[in-house]
Amino acid sequence: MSVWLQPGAQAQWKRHYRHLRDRRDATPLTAVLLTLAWGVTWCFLPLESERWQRLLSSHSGNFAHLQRRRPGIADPLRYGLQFLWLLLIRPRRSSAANAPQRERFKPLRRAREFLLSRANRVVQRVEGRLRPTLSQLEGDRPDSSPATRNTCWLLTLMGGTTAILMLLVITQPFTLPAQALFSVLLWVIALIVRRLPAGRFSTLILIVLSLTVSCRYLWWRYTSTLNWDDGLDMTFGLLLLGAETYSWLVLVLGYFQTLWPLNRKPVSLPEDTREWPSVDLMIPTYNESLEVVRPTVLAALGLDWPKDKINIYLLDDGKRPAFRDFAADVGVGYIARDDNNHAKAGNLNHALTVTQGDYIAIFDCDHVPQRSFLQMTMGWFLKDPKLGLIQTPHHFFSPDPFERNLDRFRRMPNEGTLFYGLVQDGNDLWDAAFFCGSCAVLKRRAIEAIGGFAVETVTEDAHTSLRLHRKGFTSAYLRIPQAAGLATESVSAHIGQRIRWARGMIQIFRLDNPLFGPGLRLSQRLCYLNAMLHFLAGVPRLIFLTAPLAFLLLHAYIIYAPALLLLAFVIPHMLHSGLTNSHIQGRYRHSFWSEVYDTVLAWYIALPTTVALINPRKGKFNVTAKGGLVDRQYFDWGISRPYLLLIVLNLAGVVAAIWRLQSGPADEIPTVLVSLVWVFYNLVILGGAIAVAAEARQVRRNHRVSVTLPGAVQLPGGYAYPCTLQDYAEGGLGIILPATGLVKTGDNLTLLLQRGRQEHAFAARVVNASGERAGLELEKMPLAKHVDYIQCTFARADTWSLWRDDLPADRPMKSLIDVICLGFEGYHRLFQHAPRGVRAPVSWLASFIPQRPYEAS
Amino acid sequence: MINERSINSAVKNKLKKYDEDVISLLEKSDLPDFDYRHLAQLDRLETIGTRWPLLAEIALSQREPSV
Amino acid sequence: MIRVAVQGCRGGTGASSIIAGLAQALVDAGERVLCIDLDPHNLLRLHFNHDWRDENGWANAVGNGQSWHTASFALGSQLHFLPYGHSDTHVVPTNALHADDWQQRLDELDEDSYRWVLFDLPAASFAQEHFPADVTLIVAHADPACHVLLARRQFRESDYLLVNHFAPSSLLQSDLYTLWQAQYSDWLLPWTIHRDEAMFEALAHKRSVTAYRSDCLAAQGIRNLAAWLLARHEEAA
Repeated sequence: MSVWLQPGAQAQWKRHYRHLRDRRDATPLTAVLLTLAWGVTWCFLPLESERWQRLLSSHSGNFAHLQRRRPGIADPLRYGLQFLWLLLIRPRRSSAANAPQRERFKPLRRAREFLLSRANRVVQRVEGRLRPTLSQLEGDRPDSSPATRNTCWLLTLMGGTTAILMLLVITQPFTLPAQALFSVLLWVIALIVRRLPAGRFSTLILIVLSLTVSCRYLWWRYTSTLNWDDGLDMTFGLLLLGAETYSWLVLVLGYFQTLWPLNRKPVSLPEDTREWPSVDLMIPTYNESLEVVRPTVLAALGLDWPKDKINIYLLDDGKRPAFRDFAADVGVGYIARDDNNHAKAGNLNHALTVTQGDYIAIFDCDHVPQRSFLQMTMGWFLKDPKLGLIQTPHHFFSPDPFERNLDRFRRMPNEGTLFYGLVQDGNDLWDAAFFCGSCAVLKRRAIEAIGGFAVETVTEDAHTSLRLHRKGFTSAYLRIPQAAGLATESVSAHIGQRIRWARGMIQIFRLDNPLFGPGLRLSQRLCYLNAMLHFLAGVPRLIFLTAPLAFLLLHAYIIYAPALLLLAFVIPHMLHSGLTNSHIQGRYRHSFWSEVYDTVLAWYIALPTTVALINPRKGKFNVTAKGGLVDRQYFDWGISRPYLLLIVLNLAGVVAAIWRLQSGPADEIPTVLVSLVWVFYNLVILGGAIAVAAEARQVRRNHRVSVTLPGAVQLPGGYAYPCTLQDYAEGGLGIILPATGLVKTGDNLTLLLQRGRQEHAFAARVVNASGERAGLELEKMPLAKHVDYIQCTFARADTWSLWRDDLPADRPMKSLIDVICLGFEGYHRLFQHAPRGVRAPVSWLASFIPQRPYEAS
Repeated sequence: MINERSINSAVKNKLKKYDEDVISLLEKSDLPDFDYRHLAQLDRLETIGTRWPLLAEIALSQREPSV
Repeated sequence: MIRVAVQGCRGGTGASSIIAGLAQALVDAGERVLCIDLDPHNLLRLHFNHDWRDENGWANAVGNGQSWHTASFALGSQLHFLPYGHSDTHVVPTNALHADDWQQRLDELDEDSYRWVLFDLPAASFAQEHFPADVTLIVAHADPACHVLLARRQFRESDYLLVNHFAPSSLLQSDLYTLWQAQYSDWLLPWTIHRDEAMFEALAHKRSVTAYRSDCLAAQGIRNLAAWLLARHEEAA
């Protein structure tokens, strides 16, 4: 080399080579080739000059992802591609930089806001004038003034006319342009109505529009899109139509169920506490550990209810001496029975025989009741003599598997929020709120009237409340969470729990069908029916996930209609139902997430529900594990196998689609494109389902709650400092102190926690300290102190509200993008956990993809 | 340890009688007139008299009408 | 000009320390404050890094025929304080507060000169005259002696009860505080100032506790007090 170069240049080449070899860890061959390439460039450009050096260093941030990689032979190509990409796009900006852009659209937005405010005012005036009438219709306040009655008749007449018009419109065949225009009109109306304050008026209008469009769609499907000639076409077509009919039915029943949530408020109890009724608080347990059960029992001891009117019982089916001793120590009742028949229902039935309270409050062993539970719920029993059950929401301290694995804890409503926040509340209007097994109070006389808790099915709770309704008792739902517990700890446990519920509900459907039999009103029948139909979603969802493949792979025309006409019918149907559901449910579930939740469960509940539908007595009961540990991050291949199969099938569909586009008949191209879009959508949703299967690490075995509460510490020497409680658990807490170095590991201190104006002192020891944070372990304390601790933490009356406030509202477009990103994330995780043989070539390919860098700050 | 500035004035009156977690609950659930019975505190007040004779005596004399 | 009087329900409850801390907290919030020590023990000045040997104060000034505010001192630009003054040649009846005189003296001052005037009253004693102020803070310990003294006291509308040196670990203190919450619900301030060694150390360093160690628990209690006072008088302003 010294032959060709001057010594200075030679040193440069050597340095470059060594840099690649030593600092960037390149192989010798790579280093040589890259140095040669660099050398060639250097021949043409003065790379060592100051201007070039500055240029290179200032833009090095834009190539950061490439500089992180080990150098490869194809690096020049990579840099070239990234350079071209940078020419096209701008770096990602910080959010502050986005502000100037908004200014540009200000006049437009102001005009839009002005129009909206006018529309709002008009609607508010109309709604105000209609309010007495609406409440009259509801039966709230019988205001029989002639004006109101006239408006009532007028509205009923209008409603009837609208219904007739709707029916006519549904069956009227439109040409394609007419259908398109009709859909656009309705869509514009929907968009306007949606902007109005979310009142029942706007909800009703949206529901009417959505029903019109969806019924039209279904009518059209039934009458014009089935091909009776071809056997294969007909089979697949009927399957898909069946699935769509199921969705339509669930949609309609869902509207009915949730259109008017009752939002019941608690009722005060009588002045004299001696008139308050007696309550037996039962905590059934089987194989859960004492750590999980202890907070529940201690919180129950701290309930704000006269001590002589409450008895607490631990119903231990595991017959464990540790539990018996614990019950004796704290002074609660302990009930064990000889056999273990019928699991929890049998346990409760046995306990009924040895207790006497007028009312029974039931808590799962991990559901910690708040001190205000009984005062919030019992008032209704005294107000309504026929009330048999009052149910409160199941609220969770810990993230459910979706929230944990997708890292969305407290950033959006979780999976259970829809049911406990909206559906049960809607059920309550129709007096169809049903028992969920925990966090509820039942009247003893009512349970005895139906012969005890139902034991024939695995969801004994829903069955019991069905029987109560049949017997003429009413039910109530209070949507204020008054207890909190542990969510299921892994995806497989979650699915196991849902399988049990699904199986149980279908068993009830077969054995004690709500549509038939005495004692129920039509509205109650429909609500129960919808609850059961919800669990039949497995098979329809699988059909939706594989339907486009029938055309792409098997060339079966499942929908015998031109693609454009299909789009003209389907798109309004999906848009309207999506919009209306977002309007009704937006606070409780964000758009498109239902797809992900349903897909995760679909495969697993399809078979058990079908079996239960055919033979309801088959199948065994399995208890949900509580307080289990996911001790390391892992990918649950077992759970995700069905999704992988579906992904592979859909990928095959993509390949087939591309082949058909190239070599199939030209008039089929629109159909292929529509099917392709559908397949991509399926792949995204399946990606989301896969993402959930990558289990995040869950370190703690018992409840650990993150919260921000003020506290204080007293240190040896008499010094005291305020601190902020970051999280608490049964035996320890994490705090943040105002300065570093105040405590070190091993220090003893006194923790001061306040609940209201009662301040309590707890002896604690520092188990770890870093910077301003410290982890404390509580010393052993007497029972009264332990109850106080639970009262200061788990059983605070406002535990649920400390985090509920700032959940963002639903924005469908943003939610869609979120779900799409989730899909990609799912594939990314799948890839990360894939065996090395698969990973290496794919990651090599992926390294060529240019990435969008962040703007240099 | 409560900064009164952060609590709106409608609730300030109740602060003297209820615990702030119950107030927060009642506020968030839109129940301004709910008559929550703070039994834990009432129980405690009763036991105070049994623990400290001087306090019991003073309480007794305060309840009796002045002679 | 808002007048705040702070008085211990008996001696040794830490009223002076509280006033000093409160003054500093108000200054930190941007207010102009004047502290006047009406207690012949003349302790307030020692929280403001005043020279122990300096015997000047308003009582000396008045006794010598000078103006009462010639003996005022400043700590920083926003905080002024007026010691009682110490001299053997004076015999001033300690029980007399001369409330009317003080009313006159404050009227002499310019309206904008101070927003807050804090009076450190001597500990409550028998047959003491009423000292009118916008807010009167009665400082007590949660102990049986204060309980007895408070039981005899008539609370006025602008009186507030503040518990100092509170130790929640003590069952008796805890019980008494609970009892006072029920009994004196209209007057008891909803927080306490905890027992904190930093309060005593502050005086040993000739500072108020908020200046000495602002992140300690006692300082936080005093800041709550300042915030409460500011909020009250924000509505009125």
